[in-house]
Amino acid sequence: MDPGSDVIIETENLVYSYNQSGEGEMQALNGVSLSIVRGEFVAIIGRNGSGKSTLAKHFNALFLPTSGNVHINGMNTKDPDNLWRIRQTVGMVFQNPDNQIVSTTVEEDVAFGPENLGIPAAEIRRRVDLALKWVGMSEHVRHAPHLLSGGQKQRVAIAGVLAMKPQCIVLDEPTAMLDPSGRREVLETVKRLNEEDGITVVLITHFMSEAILGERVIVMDSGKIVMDDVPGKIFNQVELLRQLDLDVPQVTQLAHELAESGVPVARDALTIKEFINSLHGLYPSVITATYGE
Amino acid sequence: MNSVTVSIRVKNLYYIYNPGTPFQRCAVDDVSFEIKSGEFVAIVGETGSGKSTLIQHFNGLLKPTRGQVFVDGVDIWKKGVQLKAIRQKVGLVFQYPEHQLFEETVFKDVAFGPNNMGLGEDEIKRRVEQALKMVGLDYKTICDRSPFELSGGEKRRVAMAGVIAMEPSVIVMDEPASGLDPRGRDEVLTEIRELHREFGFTVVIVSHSMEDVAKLAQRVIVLHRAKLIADGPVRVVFGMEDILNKAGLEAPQITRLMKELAGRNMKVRTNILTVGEAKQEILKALRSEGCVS
Repeated sequence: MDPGSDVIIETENLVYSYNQSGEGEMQALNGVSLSIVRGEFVAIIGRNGSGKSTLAKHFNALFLPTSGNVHINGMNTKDPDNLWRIRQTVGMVFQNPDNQIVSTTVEEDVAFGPENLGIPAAEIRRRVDLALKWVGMSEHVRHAPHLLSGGQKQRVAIAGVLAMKPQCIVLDEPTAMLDPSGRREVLETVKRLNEEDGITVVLITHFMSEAILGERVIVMDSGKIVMDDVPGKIFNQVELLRQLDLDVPQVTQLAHELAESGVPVARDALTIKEFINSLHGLYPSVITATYGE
Repeated sequence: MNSVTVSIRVKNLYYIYNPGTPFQRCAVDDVSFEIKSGEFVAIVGETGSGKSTLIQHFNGLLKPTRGQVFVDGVDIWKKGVQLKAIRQKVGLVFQYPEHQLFEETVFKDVAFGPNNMGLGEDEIKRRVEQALKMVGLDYKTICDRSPFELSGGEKRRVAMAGVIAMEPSVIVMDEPASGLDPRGRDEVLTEIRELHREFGFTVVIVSHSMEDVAKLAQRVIVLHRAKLIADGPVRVVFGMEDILNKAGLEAPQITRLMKELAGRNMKVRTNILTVGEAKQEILKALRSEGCVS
């Protein structure tokens, strides 16, 4: 692959088996080929055991393919010489913020990664301050991480990844253990990093309301990619998603049920705004205004 | 089901962590309410609002700093009251209860509580069988399996069965569906609904998902910074936008949609909780305007 190209993550025929020699060998990934372009915001969804977390762990060489290849900026993850550059390119954030905190103050925690890279102190200071500013946690710089809320801890974990100056962040169910406001804090931070700083985002989630934040949704099942499209085109396939044990947003479900009852509202409405504007377009005398002016 | 007896009552309850130290923090601040036998109540609020602390008072795991807790009319901290008997009446299912599964078979795990009660073998078997049935698991196919090879939703239901096998009259669950994929969530929530509807348990859940609360509960108690700020039917409380905002919560997407439609002069009710209700309401409005047949 041309290293100057815009593809940041590429997998070719990726196969991964757990217990490769032992008895209960299980194929977690079954021939996955995909490319993620620099600056994209991609959500990956799928039921438990569909392979989505296993796939994500290949993106920064935590897992290596049983067969097939993974390239990050053109670097093959199988080559040990690439390991540190890959880990610097792609940062990972996991589900449980408590398992990711290693230090007694927020700033030390964020500095942990760059310190391990042997970066000079002044540069670390600069990166820590900038990373905490990015996630809106500057005022907590000297606080003890274990006394923060779940959403704050998760933002510190993201700052720790940002301090490594990655080009891509992979988040594996980062909000599963958070309350609604913690969830909002984290998602707004991620969205902003993508839009304003051009950081590529791969978000693995069980929440369909989060999956629609991106411009692309990948649906996994039985270790394979079964759908890969823009959110509107994914979520209007209500029946197929149900077969895959996945939800659709309430508004999309409503649009579907109404369509079956003869109200031709847009089946790909994902948000309140899209639903209202579609219904207003159909019946302007009944719904007298659009949404969002 | 008993008609109108009060099952749990808390009166002017206060709980202070680390009293008399610089870390002193009031986690429950003058909270009073009663839960009647056969009710389904949800307790909602942000992380740190006091939900988990509050429910640990229901079976005497925590002792109030001030105030009283009554179970079936008995002040549980009065001299001579056996807390063991109270804990049998009020079963508490913690968050991520599957982390506490430890036996080599499902049978042994569910039988753990009844075993400790010193019950006979036949009675234990009867209870395990019944408890598994109540959570929708087939005794014969599952009793000899290892809990660790089950799906997320199954594991969690086994953990619930362990509490049900104590034959409590009240089941209190902290975040019963968190961290599960949509299918696991559906499984668990369906069984919780059955425990209430079919088997007549009094059910209290703590939840961060307003969608789940809207689907299941009859009544909702909102906590904010250790204080009770709302208590009423779900339909009423979810219409109180300022209360929800103050508590850092958001009504379900479908409830918010109906409000927005009504705000654009569509003649629909706004206290809608489910997609099914919303569909009927929209169809009714469109029919009365002659827009659909």
